[in-house]
Amino acid sequence: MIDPPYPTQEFGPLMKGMVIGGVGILHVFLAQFAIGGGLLLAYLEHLRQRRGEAQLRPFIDSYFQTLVLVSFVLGAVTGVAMWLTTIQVGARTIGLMVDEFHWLWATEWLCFCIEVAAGYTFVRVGARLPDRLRLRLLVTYAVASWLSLFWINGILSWQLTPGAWLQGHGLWDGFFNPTFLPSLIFRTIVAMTLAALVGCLVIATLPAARLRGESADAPARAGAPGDAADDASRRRALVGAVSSFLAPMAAMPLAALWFLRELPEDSRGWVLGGSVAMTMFVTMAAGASAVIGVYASLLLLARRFASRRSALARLTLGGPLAAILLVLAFAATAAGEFVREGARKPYTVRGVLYSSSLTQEEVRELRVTGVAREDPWPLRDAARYPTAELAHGARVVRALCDACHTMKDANGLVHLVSSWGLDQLRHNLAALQHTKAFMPPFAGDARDVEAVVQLLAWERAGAPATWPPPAEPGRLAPADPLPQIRAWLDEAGVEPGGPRGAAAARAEATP
Amino acid sequence: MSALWHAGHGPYLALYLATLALHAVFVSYLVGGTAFVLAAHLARAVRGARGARGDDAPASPLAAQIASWLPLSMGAAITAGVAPLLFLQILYQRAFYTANLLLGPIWGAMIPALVLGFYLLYLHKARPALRPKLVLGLALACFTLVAALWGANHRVMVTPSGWTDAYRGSPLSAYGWSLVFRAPVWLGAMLAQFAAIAAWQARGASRGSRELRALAGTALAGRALSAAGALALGWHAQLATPLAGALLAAIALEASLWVTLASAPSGARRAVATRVYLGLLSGAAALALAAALAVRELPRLAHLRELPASVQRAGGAWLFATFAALALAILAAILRAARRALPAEPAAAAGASDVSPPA
Repeated sequence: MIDPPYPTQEFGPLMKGMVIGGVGILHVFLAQFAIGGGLLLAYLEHLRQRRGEAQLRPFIDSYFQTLVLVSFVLGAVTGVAMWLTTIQVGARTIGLMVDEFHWLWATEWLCFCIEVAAGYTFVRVGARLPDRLRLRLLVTYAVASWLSLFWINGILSWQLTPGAWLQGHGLWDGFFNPTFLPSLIFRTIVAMTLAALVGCLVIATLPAARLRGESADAPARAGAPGDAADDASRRRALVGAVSSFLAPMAAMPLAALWFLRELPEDSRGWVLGGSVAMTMFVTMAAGASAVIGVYASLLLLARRFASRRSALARLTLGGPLAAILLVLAFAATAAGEFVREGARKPYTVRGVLYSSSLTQEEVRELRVTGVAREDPWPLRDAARYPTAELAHGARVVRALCDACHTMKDANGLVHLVSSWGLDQLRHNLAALQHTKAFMPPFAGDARDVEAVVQLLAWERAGAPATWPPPAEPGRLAPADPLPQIRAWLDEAGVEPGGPRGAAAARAEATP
Repeated sequence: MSALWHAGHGPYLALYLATLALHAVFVSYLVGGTAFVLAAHLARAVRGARGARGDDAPASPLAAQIASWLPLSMGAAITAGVAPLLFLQILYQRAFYTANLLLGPIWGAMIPALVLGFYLLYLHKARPALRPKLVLGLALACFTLVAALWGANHRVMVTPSGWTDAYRGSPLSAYGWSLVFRAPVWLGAMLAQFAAIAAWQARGASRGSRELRALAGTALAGRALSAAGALALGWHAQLATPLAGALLAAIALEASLWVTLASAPSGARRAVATRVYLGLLSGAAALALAAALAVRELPRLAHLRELPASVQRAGGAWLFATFAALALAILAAILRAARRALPAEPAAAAGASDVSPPA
């Protein structure tokens, strides 16, 4: 027995994936910045106390204010937004994730609580705390925020590679899945990189008085000769301390390769050329990361090896350049998240839920009953369709295609099938997972397929008032397409598509 | 109730209500505090218009102190809100998701409202002289919208008979204005809860006597607003239940304590507001909150469905329990550290911006 479907929402010309993508990328970016920021500040406070580098203190306090302003509420609110948007796009998927991992999510929430308590306490009274307590507070904040990444990373990577969980549904089998560790390492490096880049921005915008450790309330004094040079040197020293957080970027390619190796074969195939869009996004992420990595390497190497008088030793990471690199980092994050989401196709939870939010067993059942039979939701635009079959087609599209496609706008079905003939449409829909391996199998019966075919043809024809158009004189009436569609559906099966192996190709070639 | 426990819902229901109560405390401080600070500015403007002590009069120290805590309370409220959101999804997944989807983009308006509200509060904290009435009024409008949306979500959840009409037309056409009428009930309750917390702050303020009277007025006005809202919704019909009785008793105790405090002579008011007295007042407010949440939840229990197998087999409860104990210990240590440093906070800094925008 399949639960009735949830009502669906439309977002105008945007496909739902774009909506959740927009919210998700912003949230991931902010959250990773918050995590890296915590690690960076704990490290710098440790450095300050161990080496007595007094100029670090005003920076640490200013940076924490940025962290609170940007990340504490905007990060938290976009996290909730992501949750609510996911419900709008794939209620069943988020429901399954909550069902399976709610205790881990609840544990992650405890980490948020510690993070917020430690963070606000530091902001509120950090300046008045003794060094020992300051460091403890920052370490607590850093550990709690990194642990929140630890928990959510396991849940998100489970969606892509559930691993041994598929056999026994064991919590830890799912959590410590094949991409858990490479993904965790990769995200930690990204978090550190973002923290360092934002740090350079903060250093560039820190007023000179703050930089010298003077109180913000102190009366401004005239700049003494040499002050500017001193300030520049202070800023360079700070950039030097902060930029050490860029060093782990050296391990980023290894983590990425490890992640790629752990991907299922078909997903890896799309990322590495099988899907032009995904390959392009991977290239964009890698390219943007490489630009940041190259500059970071130059900066670190120059600081380590260049003689004090050489021009290289003066290499720094000023505000404008840090801002440009941050934009690149955002682009890399966006592209990376797109790839991570895309690589899951045709699933939202690999091996469990297809992107149509249906299990394989449910697809099998719907092949018999039809997909729209249990749908309790009326069509909002029912009056638009001149025939019952077209209205039925609209319900099928709403149930099966709506999560990723619009009719005529972003990723529009009409555009995607614009050059296909009617029989080609029938075949390609019935054998959908073989037409495109990242599509799920069609989850309906032959009537559903034909209704969608007619709907698409009608939309393509400009939605005329009568349908089908009158037959041309002298042409035979078309034969009933349903038996052929049924045969195609049976042949396609309900399993995912994926690349056909050499053995299957040989078998097909044998007469 | 024991049947619920045996069906597996009990632990989730208990955690839901406990974390929701925690969330409600922070939200109450946020919303009630914003309203209180706004009212202080409005009162000052009225005094100014009458030619009496106007805008040059010193601002209420308590209002300034509260304003400085508002952004923090918002961060805490949002963080505390994550847990009830999680447990709500376990208990009422289908109904909750359906209500989310039916409210759709209107529901999504909560996110920009929260972001805008937060930055407005920060703006007020950093630049208190910058059009405070407008800034605080806008922030309060944002929070009222969020409260109305949650009320609407609850109403849609527990009224499936309207789902089809709401989908075909709009939630407003299906449910009418009763969709947003829940908001005044909760906003009023938030004012009362806020006053119970802020009374502790007023006790230490230099003009605590006047501040305590203002807080009493806030709490009583809040309870009156809630009562009016409940009457308008016809909730008085449900007063016969024992839980509703407990709620009314707690509110009556709380209100009588406020009235006693407000009617005490100005010079003696701070002496009345002893730790024990405020403890009693806070206890009554906490009881009222607990009873209100239970009264709110009771009708919704009819919409509980059998927990899916995936929830029943989900592991990790022991991990959560261990982490919860650890987290409590860490939070206690953090609070201890904060308390040790807070008394040293200069009085002048109370209203000043200690979290100014980054340079």
